[in-house]
Amino acid sequence: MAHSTHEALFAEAMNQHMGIFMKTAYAFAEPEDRDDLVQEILLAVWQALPAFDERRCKLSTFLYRVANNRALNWNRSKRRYRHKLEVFQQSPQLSLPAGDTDSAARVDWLYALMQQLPPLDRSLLMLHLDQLSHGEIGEVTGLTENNVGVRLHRIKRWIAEQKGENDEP
Amino acid sequence: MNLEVLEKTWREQVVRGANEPAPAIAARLKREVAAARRRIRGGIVLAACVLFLGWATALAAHVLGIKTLTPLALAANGVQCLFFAAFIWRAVRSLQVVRREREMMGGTLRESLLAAHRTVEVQIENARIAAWAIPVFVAVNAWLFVTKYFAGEFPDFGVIAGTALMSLLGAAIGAATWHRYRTHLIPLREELAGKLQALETNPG
Repeated sequence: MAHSTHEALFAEAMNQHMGIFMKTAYAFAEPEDRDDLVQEILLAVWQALPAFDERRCKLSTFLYRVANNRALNWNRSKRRYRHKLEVFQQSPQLSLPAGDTDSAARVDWLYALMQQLPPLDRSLLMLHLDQLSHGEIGEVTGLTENNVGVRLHRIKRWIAEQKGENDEP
Repeated sequence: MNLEVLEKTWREQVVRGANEPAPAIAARLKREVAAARRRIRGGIVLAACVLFLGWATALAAHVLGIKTLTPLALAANGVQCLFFAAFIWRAVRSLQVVRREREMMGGTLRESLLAAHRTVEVQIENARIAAWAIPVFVAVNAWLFVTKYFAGEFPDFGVIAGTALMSLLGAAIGAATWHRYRTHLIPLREELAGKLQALETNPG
């Protein structure tokens, strides 16, 4: 891959798909580790982009794969991670429309719930919430569409049970 | 409230505060990648230097008439060469597996997990090899020191100091390797195996 293409793709990933990296980090890391995981994901994206082939999948699918793969392996480096990379000059944050406290509480509740799910289910739920079809989720995970459907059905049922048991906003 | 409300709220999230431009971040990441490569290459170059330095010193000493290169000294250098060559071979092989894992970051979860599992397997294999290779290396070198001593090629202080230094170094590397094997590699392999199993299990 040409040097300029690599940089252009990275810029496109950062400018148009930063939400993928942020949501993945929020779903997989504790609040104090989120910046570190975002940076690790960006590093993984930078290193993986030369292997990206647009004939095989969309850029967004590729980025979902890298982000989820890195997040699933996060525990591996987290224990030894002490600001390995230079820190962001200004850390990006995920936020909701100003003043909407109900929505903010709902999202916090959802992230807290995701932390209780096994890592694979966490990925599936996040991809579903980002409105990926079962086929697209299959492309990211390597699961069949049918398998994705069954797993998501179970996850949704579990969430419904939690809504009954917890103080869901 | 139903799941649709949660889904709608989820979609309302937006990224704020990401004012650092992509080229600036790319430049930092490039530096990180280059630094990591330098560290790995540095390790291999250092091992290669040790490999050749022994020979270069022995040959220079022989040519300059400082110390004659006896068959025993040749054998000692040869044995050390074999150990270092094996070490470099394992290091290069591990590097290839790590590179393969990095390439698989853009693959499916299954492909990526399999590559990560393979990397950990190779690291476990390395630790197991180290468990017998380090004592063998120390023992062989101690035996060579003693043999050289009896052949009159090595002073008694050299035998004691050389063996003690080699044993200490071997013990330190062995202890660090064992600690990493027990507290990091084995739990990690189980964790990855569990994730792979969860992926393989058909919930239907």
